[in-house]
Amino acid sequence: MDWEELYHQYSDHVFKFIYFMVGNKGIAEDLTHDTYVRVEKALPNYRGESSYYTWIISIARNVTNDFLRRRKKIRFIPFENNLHDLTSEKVEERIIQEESTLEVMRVIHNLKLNYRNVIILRKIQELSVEETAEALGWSSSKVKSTTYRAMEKLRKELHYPDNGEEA
Amino acid sequence: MNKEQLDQTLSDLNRSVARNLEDKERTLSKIRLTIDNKIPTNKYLLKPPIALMISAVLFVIISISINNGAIFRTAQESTITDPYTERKLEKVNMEDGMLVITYGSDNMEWGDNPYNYLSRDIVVDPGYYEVEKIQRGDVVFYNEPEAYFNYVQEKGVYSEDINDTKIARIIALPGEEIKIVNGQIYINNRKLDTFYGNGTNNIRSNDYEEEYNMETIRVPKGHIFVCGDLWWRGLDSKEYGPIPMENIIGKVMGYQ
Repeated sequence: MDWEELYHQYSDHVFKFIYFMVGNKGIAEDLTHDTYVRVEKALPNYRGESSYYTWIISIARNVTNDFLRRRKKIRFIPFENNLHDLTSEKVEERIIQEESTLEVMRVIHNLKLNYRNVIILRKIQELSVEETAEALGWSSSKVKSTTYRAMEKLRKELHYPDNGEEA
Repeated sequence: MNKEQLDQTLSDLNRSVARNLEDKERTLSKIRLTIDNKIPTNKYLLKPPIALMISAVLFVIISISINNGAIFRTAQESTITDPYTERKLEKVNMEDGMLVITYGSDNMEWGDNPYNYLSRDIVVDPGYYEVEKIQRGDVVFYNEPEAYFNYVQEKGVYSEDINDTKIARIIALPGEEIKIVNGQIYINNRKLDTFYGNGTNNIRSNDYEEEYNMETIRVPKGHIFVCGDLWWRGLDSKEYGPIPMENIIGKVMGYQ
């Protein structure tokens, strides 16, 4: 496969992964661009140890994590308030859906990067444990335990927005 | 939101986001350009000093609005609640890096059958508190402190299982004051309105729990107050006081 075929086949998934990480479609497109530039460069060295998809996701993850770390001091990333693509017909249902979905997204964006990565891959994009382990370069057990901790943290933050006791 | 609803919300998220086809094509063109011409693109980052200033102001505004003005709130709520902690243990599928123990005490039982903790293989995460903070309601696996052994000796109490280790729930945190009045727990004089906040909630509770009183104890820094869910079974901080946090071995995640 050449990089363009990889783009046609996988870039939507890659875009979504990045979008869930950064919360902004414009930035997600830019980082998708950056990811595929790297993919094109690295393709000659790709040895097929993992599937194309998990290989590309691991590149996307590095690109995105680097981006988010660089912007650590700048905490404000323009977060889009318009998930109009929600499929519910009824207006009321859609409003309630949107609100709680936005709340979940907001909390996900406050999680540390590892937790964010694993929630997006395992819980949103529903990759298997093995695929997630490949994409993140972790063992399967690390994926499982980190997913558990990440989901606990997510639920905590949804219930206790001002959580935090001095240990 | 409970666990099922949250799982559903998360998987719905995947379907709810659509990528604009024009954007997809535009990005493809940009990639081609970059590869052919090695043009560095994406000048979306503002110059650092300006960006920092703007972001500092925005950060303050946003964090205030996200907290709903919490820093300006003056009235304190009269009860403490905990909608997050679930009473029953869930089944977990995790071994590597986890501690699996068979638990022999019914100090955490509620009369469910099958049991939640007793005679089960309990999965404990020993690394949990290296990355996460302790939380009221957490169920922890810990080493009995010296205070326990002293208590047993002093009182000549017969403890069925003079084990080194125990499982119990975190009720009060470092620096808090805890007291029990007629079976009801109060933290800093606020009623602990949770399933584990009152000794009479447990159907297996002793009739006398509604007469149970404990004078105010202040939990020292670096310590926690732990209590089994079945008050009359086993000894815990109610009898021998708060335990040091170093005694915590790990967080109970579920059963296997």
